[in-house]
Amino acid sequence: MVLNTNDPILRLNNISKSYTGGGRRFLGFTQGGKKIVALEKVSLEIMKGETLVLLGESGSGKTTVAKMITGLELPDSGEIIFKQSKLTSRNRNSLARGKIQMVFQDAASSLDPYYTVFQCVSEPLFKSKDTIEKKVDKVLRALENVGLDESYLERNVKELSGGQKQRIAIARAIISDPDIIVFDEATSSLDVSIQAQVLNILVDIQEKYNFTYVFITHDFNVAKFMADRVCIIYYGRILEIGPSEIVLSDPKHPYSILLKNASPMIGKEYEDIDVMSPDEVYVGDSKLGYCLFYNRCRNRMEKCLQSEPPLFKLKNREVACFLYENK
Amino acid sequence: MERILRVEDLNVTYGESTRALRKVNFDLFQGEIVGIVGESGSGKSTLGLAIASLLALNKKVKFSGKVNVNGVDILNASEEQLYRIRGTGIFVIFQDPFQSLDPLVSIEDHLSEAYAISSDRNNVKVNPEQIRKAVITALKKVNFTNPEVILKKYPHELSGGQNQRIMIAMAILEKPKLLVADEPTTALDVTTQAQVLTLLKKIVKEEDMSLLFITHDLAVASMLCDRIIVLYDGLIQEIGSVKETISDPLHPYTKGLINSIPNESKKEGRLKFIKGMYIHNEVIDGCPFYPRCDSRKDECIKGIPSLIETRGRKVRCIIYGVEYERSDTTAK
Ligand SMILES: Nc1ncnc2c1ncn2[C@@H]1O[C@H](COP(=O)(O)OP(=O)(O)O)[C@@H](O)[C@H]1O
Ligand SMILES: Nc1ncnc2c1ncn2[C@@H]1O[C@H](COP(=O)(O)OP(=O)(O)O)[C@@H](O)[C@H]1O
Ligand SMILES: [Mg+2]
Ligand SMILES: [Mg+2]
Repeated sequence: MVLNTNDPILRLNNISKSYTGGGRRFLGFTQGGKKIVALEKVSLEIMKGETLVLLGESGSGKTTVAKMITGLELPDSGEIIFKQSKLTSRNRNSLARGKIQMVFQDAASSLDPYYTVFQCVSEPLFKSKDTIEKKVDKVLRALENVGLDESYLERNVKELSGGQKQRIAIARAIISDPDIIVFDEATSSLDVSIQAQVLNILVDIQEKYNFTYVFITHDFNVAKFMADRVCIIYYGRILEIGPSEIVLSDPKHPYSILLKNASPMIGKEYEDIDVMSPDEVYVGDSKLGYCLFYNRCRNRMEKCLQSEPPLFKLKNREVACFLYENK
Repeated sequence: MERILRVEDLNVTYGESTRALRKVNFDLFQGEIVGIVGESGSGKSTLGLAIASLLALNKKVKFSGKVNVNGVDILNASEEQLYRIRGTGIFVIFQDPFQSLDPLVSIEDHLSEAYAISSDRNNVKVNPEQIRKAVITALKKVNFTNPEVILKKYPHELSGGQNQRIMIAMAILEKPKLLVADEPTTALDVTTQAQVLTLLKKIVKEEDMSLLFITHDLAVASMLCDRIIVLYDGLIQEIGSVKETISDPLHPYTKGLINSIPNESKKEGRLKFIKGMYIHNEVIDGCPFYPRCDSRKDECIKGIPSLIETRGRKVRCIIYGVEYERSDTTAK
């Protein structure tokens, strides 16, 4: 078993990112032509060899974090440090190409349906000087790691099932021997029996190659299985972060507690579900300078309206809630 | 207990060969919540459509068997009978509320019409004031704290969770005996899902309706339902109370499904999974789960195992007795 060294392999420092809403929906509301704060001064450290799970509901900013890490988009402000070097749009290619990979929810849309499996999986090697034999060898090894044999090499992506496509996407992500792989809801659209197969594969290859994972999900149970550390986000803010066995078994932030109570679990009953619907408590401009969970919070205090709670450090975790200010 | 729904030997095929449901038999009683659970392609939505009498809209569909709702044989009913039963006899909530809500019609008009229809069918005369009062009461029952504001809105101005609550309010106003909900919360966030489901359960019990709840999520079904029906490749594999089914599943598929849901950390070991995958329209003589089953034997493919009674429950697996269906399971 590979342990986390204490070195962060990647750091996000004060990352902010806004979009101008062209009629996008957030928690079901359309925000047209308005500034939408997707991330507000988010700082995160990702340790070598760990799985950091980003857990949150739709619109909370999870995919935006993924885009920042993988360089698909640039932050408005803040810096991204990869292995001690600050990544810029200019140096990202030379410093991080192939080293930070991403697997999307909908593999079908990120893989060319008319490619063969070989073409798809070997694509990240297109600039390498490997001979074709070497490439075939690497592709076969990657396929083997995701439980597929050589009979798949010449098959077209479009003939494959959802679960098989997701495996191809994983094989393609690992072939360039990356340091970090970001999974954005990578198993969310799979049937649960197939999801279990894929999650096991992810854990196996991580142990084998000491990959660092950033695993994005809205599913509490999946988070519990995958995470070493978990980061709960809401409206572009980190509300709670810490070791998963602590945070998920005994969440502290009132939102984390709600998320746990609301998550389906076999044989459980819903408890403590507020009658008030979240979508009736529209916060709108999320840079108002107060706790964004205020409207839905049953522990709210006067203070929560006066400023936005920063992350307070508790023994093993950090929580952005004034309840924990002096703990 | 009064029986609200009886499905008998229901077979459905799309086109020439796509089998969707085979030999489906079950009952649903007054006040019950029954979950239909299965992975994608198992035939859940087809079953919902059959019961809602919406199957015949598809010209390529072939079906046989009986679906009896409140004494009316839906599959062989006249247009007049169907008209009377839709909405006030059976009410359907789909995953996408816009399958039922018209974006150009206000919430007030949707709800008022629902109440007017049900009053008319019950031969009760109502005036506009009574309608408005009933509509507001229904909105309050589904936890809208500001019904007057919501009434003026149009469906596209509401969120997914709010629109599903409008659908539940419509059901309250139409007072159907049977509610069919096909993945009504699958597109919602978990906190919204929890609210909608808590509400749905409360309303079904309070208004004395029955609910057929279709979902791919066994955990969700286990939290909401009284009984569960597990479908695989169009065949019912297991029927039982939620309690017994989740604590002591009989069918190897049900066991596999429960085990596949993560509930511990990877540090406690890997997930138990079901090997292989469901291949649609695969030709298997016998149990469709055979290729993926850990307990399979040669007997499994000598015919389709019968749904047999054991310990007051029903299961389709030869572990519990070697009996087979007669071979004729295709729709005519
Ligand atoms: N390209 C975009 N244009 C406008 N708004 C966007 C865009 N991408 C994301 N957003 C908004 O940013 C917020 C965070 O989105 P996202 O990171 O996709 O959340 P998540 O992945 O957690 O669902 C949301 O309000 C979303 O609507
Ligand atoms: N309109 C249709 N035309 C042809 N095949 C269909 C149609 N609807 C469903 N099917 C097929 O019937 C089977 C059962 O589908 P469905 O009832 O939608 O399953 P579920 O809701 O459990 O995912 C699937 O294999 C599906 O591909
Ligand atoms: Mg996303
Ligand atoms: Mg369906």
